[in-house]
Parts: sequence; C-alpha cells; structure tokens
Amino acid sequence: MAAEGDDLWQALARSGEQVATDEDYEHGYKQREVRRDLRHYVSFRVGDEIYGLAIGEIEEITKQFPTTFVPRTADFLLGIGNVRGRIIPVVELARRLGLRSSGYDRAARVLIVTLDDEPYGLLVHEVLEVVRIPPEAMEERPGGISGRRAEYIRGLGRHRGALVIILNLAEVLDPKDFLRLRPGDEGGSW
Amino acid sequence: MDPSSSEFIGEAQESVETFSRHLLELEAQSRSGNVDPDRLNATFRAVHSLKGLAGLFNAVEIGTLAHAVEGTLDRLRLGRIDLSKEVLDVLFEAVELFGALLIPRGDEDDIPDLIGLLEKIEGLSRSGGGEGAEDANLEWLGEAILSVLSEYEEHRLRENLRKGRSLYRVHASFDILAIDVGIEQLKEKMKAYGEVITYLPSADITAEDRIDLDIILGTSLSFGDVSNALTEVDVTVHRLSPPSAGERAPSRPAPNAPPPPPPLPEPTPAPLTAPSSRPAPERPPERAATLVSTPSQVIDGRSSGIVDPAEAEVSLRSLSQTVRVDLRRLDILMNLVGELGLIQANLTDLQERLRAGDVAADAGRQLQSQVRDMARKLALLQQGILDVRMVPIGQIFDKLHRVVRKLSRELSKEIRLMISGADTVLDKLIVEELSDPLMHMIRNCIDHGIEAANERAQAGKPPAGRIDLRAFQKGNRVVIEVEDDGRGMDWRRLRELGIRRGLITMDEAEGMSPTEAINLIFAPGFSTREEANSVSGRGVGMDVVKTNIAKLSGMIDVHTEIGRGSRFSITLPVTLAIIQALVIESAGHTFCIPLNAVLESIMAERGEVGTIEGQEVITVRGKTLPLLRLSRLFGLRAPPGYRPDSNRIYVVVVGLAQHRVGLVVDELLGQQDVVIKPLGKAIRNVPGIAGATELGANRTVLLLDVARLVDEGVRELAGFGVGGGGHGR
Repeated sequence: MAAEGDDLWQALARSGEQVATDEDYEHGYKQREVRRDLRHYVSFRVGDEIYGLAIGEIEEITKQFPTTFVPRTADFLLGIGNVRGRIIPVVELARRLGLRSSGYDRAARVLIVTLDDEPYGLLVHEVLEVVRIPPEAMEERPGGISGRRAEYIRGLGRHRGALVIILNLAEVLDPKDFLRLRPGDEGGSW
Repeated sequence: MDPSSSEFIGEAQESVETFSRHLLELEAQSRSGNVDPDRLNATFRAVHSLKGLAGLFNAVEIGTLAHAVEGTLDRLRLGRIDLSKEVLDVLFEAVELFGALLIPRGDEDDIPDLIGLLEKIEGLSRSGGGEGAEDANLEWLGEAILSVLSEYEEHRLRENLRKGRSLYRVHASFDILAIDVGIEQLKEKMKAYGEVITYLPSADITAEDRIDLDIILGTSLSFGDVSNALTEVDVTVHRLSPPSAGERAPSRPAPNAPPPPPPLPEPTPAPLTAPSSRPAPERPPERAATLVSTPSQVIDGRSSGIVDPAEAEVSLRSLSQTVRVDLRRLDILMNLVGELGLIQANLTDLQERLRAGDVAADAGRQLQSQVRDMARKLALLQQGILDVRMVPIGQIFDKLHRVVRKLSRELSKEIRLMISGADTVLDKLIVEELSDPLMHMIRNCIDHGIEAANERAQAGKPPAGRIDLRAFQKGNRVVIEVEDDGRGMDWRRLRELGIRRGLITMDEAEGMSPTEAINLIFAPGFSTREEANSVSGRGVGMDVVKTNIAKLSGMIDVHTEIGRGSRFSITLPVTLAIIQALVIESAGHTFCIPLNAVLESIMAERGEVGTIEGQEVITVRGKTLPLLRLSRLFGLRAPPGYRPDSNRIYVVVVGLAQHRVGLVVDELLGQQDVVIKPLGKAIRNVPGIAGATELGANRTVLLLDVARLVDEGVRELAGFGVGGGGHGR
C-alpha cells in the first residue's frame, strides 16, 4: 500500500503524460483572476444616452407604475409608489440628469435600487442589456464635464464601441437634494 | 453569544429596570426605617439573574459589575453592612452604569468608568464589613435549630431579636398532597404578623401521609395574640425565649443606624453541619416559596403605595426594538390566520365552481357569507396585532423616577413623585418616543417649577415639592399629565422674556393674551434661566417637547397658576400604526388628515369667506377662524379638466395645542382606518407631510402633518397681524 503513490508516478512517467507543475497552476490561477475582474452592469437608456449601474445595485426591474405627487419636493421626484407594500420614492432619472424628460412608452421601466438599505425607483426610458466591462475598458470621467452633473458619474465604460455612463448612485440619490425649500423656509427661525 | 445582540440587551435592560425599581422601593423603605427583607432579596435576585445573563452572553463588564453589586447586596442581606444613603447612592450609580454599559459603543466612544465604581463598591464592603463581635448568644435556641440555620436565616433571626421581637416556633402538619397550598396559606397569614425566618423539618412525625414543619416566626405580638391568630387544627404555636433577660440581644434601634454600622455578628456558629441534617423535608417549603412568589409580589406592590408595574408582562426596552408578547395572544393570532386560510380555501372552491358554470342559487349566498366572515376575522386580526404593539407606560415612569431622584439631589430639592396610571397601555412606538419629552418636562418642573425649601416654607407649602405623573385613557386617546406644586408661571414675565430673547416684538407683546404668552415657552431658544445649568436652561427643552409630541400627532396644553403650580397635559392617540383619517381632496390630489387632529369639518359658501388685511378668514359660531388653502400651501396644480364646485368649500378645522386653523379643501371623501407607512430617508422631512398610506387599489396617499401646517399657518398669519389671539381656546 505504501508504494502506491510511487507506482502512480512511475506509471505516469512510463506513459509519457505530463504532470502539471507549480508554474502551470500559478498561470492558470492568474488567468482566472483576470476573468473574475469583469464586472456586470445593467445598461439602460435615458433620453439618447446609455447609462449603467452595477448589477448588484439593482433589486428588480418593473414596468412603470402609478405614483403619487409629493408636494414640496424637487421636480425630479416623480412621486411615491407602492411596490409590494413598500412605499418607494420614484426618481425620474432624465430630469435628475438634466436630459429630455418625455417620450416614455411601453419600453419604459422602473429600476428598483437600494441605497443605504432604502429602496428607490429610477424611471428610465428603456432597459437594454447586461454588459460585462473589463476594468481596462473603463475610463475615469473626463475633466470636461464639470459641476454637479460630473458627480453623478462614476466612470465611463465602453461596450462594443458604445459609451456606457456608469452612475454613482450615492450622488444621484443624495437625500438632501430631494426637498425643495419654499422661499420663506430657508433659515427660518422656527 | 454576542453581548450586543438585541436578545441580550433586551433581557439585561429588563433586569436592570427591575433592579432599579426595587432599589427605589428600598430607598423609600429605608427612609421609613423598615426595610423589607423580601424586597432586598428580590433586588438581589434581579442582579443575580443579570449576572447569569451576562455570563451567558459573555458580557464581561456587565458581569463584573453585577458580581460586585450582587456581593454588596448579599452583605446587605446578611446585615454585614447597613442600607445607608451612601450604599444606596453607589447602587443607583450602578444602575446608571449598567445602562451605559448596555449601549453598544464604538472604539472611540467614552468608556464608562467601571473601575471607579467597582472601587467604590469595594470601599463600601470594606468600611462596612468589619468583624462584628458576637452580640447575642443564641445557644438557648438549641442545637436542633441552630445547626440548620443558614447564615442569612441566622442574621434575620438576630435582626428580629434586635428589634425586640419575640420568636415563636409554629408547628404545622400538612397533608402531603396539599402541602403546597397549605404552606402558602399559612405563610400568607404569618406574613401579616411578622417575618417568617425559616422552615425547619420537624422531629415528631405524626403520620405517614403528613409532613410536619417547624416555622420560626419573628413578631412583636404577644404569645396570646400569635397563638390566637394562628392556631388551628394542625398548627400549634410555641414560644422560643432566652433563658434570662440579661442574655438578650442589646435592643438597639437598628434600621436608622447611621454608617458606620453597629458591629454585627459575623457568623461563627451554624457551620452547616452534616448535610444529612437538612433532609428531604426541607425541600417542600422551597418549592412552596417559588409558587407563592407571584401573589406575594402583588401584595408588595399594593402595600408600597407606588404603583409597581412589575407584574406587567410586556416590557418596554428602549435599546432593543422588541416587544415581549404573551404566548396566548400569539395563539389567538395564529388561530385567526388559520381560520382566514380556511375561508380562503372556501372562496377558491366557490370561485372554481362558479367558473365551471355551477350557478346554483346558493353559491352567491355562500360567497356573501364567506366574505362577511373574512371581513370579521380580518378586523379581529387587525385588533390582535394592534394589541401586541401595546405596552404599559409604566416602564418609562420608572425611568423618570430615577431622573427625579437624581435631579432632586443635584439641586438639593426634596421631591416626591406621585405616579398613577402606570398600567395605561400605549403603542410601543409612542411609549419610546415619549420618554425624552417627559424627561424634559420633569426637569423643567424640578428646575423651574419647584421652589427651594425656604421659599416653599414662606409660601406655606410643605418643604418637599410634589410632582404628579398621571396617565389615563380618555375616549380613544391617552392623556399624560405632569403637574407640580411649584411657583407656576407668570405670563407677564414670560412675555417680557420673549421680547428680551427677540422672539416677539414690543408690538406683538402688546396684543398678547396670557395664554399666548405662556405658550412662548414652546418657542425655540426660550429659557427663563439667565444662565444654563447642568439640568436645564439651555433653551432646548420645551420646543423639543412640542416637536416630539407633535410628531406623535399629540397635543400639549399648559395650565398654570402663579404660586400654585403648573400642569402640562399631553393628549395622544393610543396607536400610531393604524389611525382614523379624514380623506380629502384638494386640486385633484387626495390627502389624509389624522382624525385626531380634526376638530370639525364644515361646509361653507364661498361668500362667507372674508378677509382681514388680505388674510382669508371665516366666522364659525361667532369666532374668527383663519383659513389656509391646502392647494396654495402645497403649490398644487390641478390636473386639466378639474373643476371643483366654485361656490362651495369645505373647511376642516384642525387644532394644535391652542391654535385653531381652518384648512380649505375641495372635497371631503370620507373617513377611513389607515395603516401609516413611513417615507424613506429622502423624503421623510418634507414639511407638512407625516407619512403615506394606501387607500385600496394600490393608491398611495399622503398623510398631512397637521402640527406642522398649523405652525406654518400661524406664523404666516402672524405676519398679517391676525395672530391666534381671538381664536385660542
């Protein structure tokens, strides 16, 4: 019994088969690591531009549902809606990003996303596909875009030649932008 | 297991609260000079169970502290140290520290000073625990008794002798089958006359099926009285007395003895001799004692004069979001759900029959009856779930008791806190939210309301200030009152302060009514103290109170009389989760108004609306009511084609504390029970919106924050010079 291991090696040597070496393992491992680096994004259309969100940020995608207008809030907040018993604020992404905000048709979808354990809905014109973008195809956001809008962008990805703008959810859904203060409300002493 | 788990925090907090409650009770007893050993034991048990719990969950700090406190309580029990003010102070400090230790904290947070307190506890034991000389010879009791007494029992025995009580041996014989009940009855009876020191197995056995016990009773009654009271068929009373008066314990007025305590007996005798001398018959009394514990506790609570919510099963715990539920209630809910499941099955069956074309005459009737049944069950289920959320308000009253104690010492004012209605139940959520406002109010009472002792003496009041904390149900609301017998509030002074603080102008002050002036205390940045002290006076108190109460859709009213005191009344809905709402429509948008904020709704002709300096007002029963248009407040745009009746308006009169305002809406759609859902972080703080709810067919509707709207309205109106003046209550 003790010699079994040796027998195996001898048998292999005789048959001329190659045994994987340490380097082989290392090589294979490295290759796998590169693969794992690929990230999945859901791409969607807002106006004429293509945006993306990491797939992990999206909880579900639903058809457009009725929302209730909430007074005294920013105009990008479409209102609140009910998704399976939860009250969810729905943001019209086009308005938030300063884009054309009409033309919602049957393709329109609401992405239910979670930020800090709270659900939000994002109304988009159309959901396209799930894309895989390797890190080397990602760009930092170009310096040309400035101001508030630039903060919404996490990076730019290229997928089959098309530009996918990856959004920074924390900035897009910054709670302090949701309230619209009335002229008399700022610095109110009450 | 993890000490930060909610399970541990909840349980531990409960133990700490029990501990604190007993401690307060002990303090009251020590003042009156008659400390109940049972109470001391209960205190010990609370800490002991906390220690066990801490061990189980690996909460080292809490365990260490509990161990030290337990040690101190044990020494108190054994009379090695006295229940002095100093000891009580340290124990109360331990209560606070337990609380601090229970709060999960990050690395950078301040670490509660555990070491410091442990040293203090250590100090107590040392200063108090001197080797006491044997001050009474007990040998006359006889070896048979002495050898089986535990250290604690012996201490109690000596304690009784020191108080000049006599000892009796009550011999009782019980039927072996009914011994539990028998002992319980006898014990209850004896407790009324004195203290049961111990149960001893009796040497003389009368029959096979009987157990005989000797019970040592300490009482100040004479032999004749005790004998008369206790003797019955199976009970005989014998007197135990020392051979001569000379050898009796020096009778000393024990309980109020100041620290350093009198030298107390260090237990030298009673080295638990051969364990076989405490044979099996010792067991039944122990078992009986556990059985009796509940009734005896109730009696304690009754006799103590302070409402003891110990019996309340459901407990409030502020750190963990748990509600403890009586299993029977859950069973009921479970049954209801089961029955609903049955109904659902029946309905499915019916539906299938109808689809299959079975239009038998009775199918419709069956359907109707099932639907009605379901509606009834659902209502019960809703009620049941609501009940589960209900907790007695007593727990926060206990916390307030501690606050009062601490503050009265800090400010050296003697305060008596009288509590009533601690068993009033409220939604857990409300109870949680109430503790801060109530604490602020109590602080204000002590700091601003109650005068210093000499000032009170001059006014002919008793030196100790009195604060009443009351809770009671009033219709479908709960009223909580905080009343003090202090100096009251002078509205002229408040008005003057309002000017000085820049809250109101001279002109505004001119037209101010006393009620309005008093309400200035709710304005932010208002404080009657010139300098802030550690208790209150930073000017954040009452406006926080008002905001918090308003958040709970409650109202707060003040009633004050100079020299007599002030009374704050908070009126709250019983629950927040489900409320009755008035559904209204304005510019095509639907909203809900909590019905408890609505005083009345009236229909008016457009022509009845007048204006004062541009502000719309309406006259209701001779009083001028300022109007607020919801559509304008919210900037609502009517959908195209929306045409409300142009000649008719509805005015919903809403009130917040003293203010009354009419909200103008287009349509009243009816009343409905609604389940309130919170809004997410992003829109939680929209002014004027309190939450959202659903009105069937997946329609989400906003719930108005009436308090906020009235506030806004009043502010706006003040700008037009139409302040709340004439419209106050």
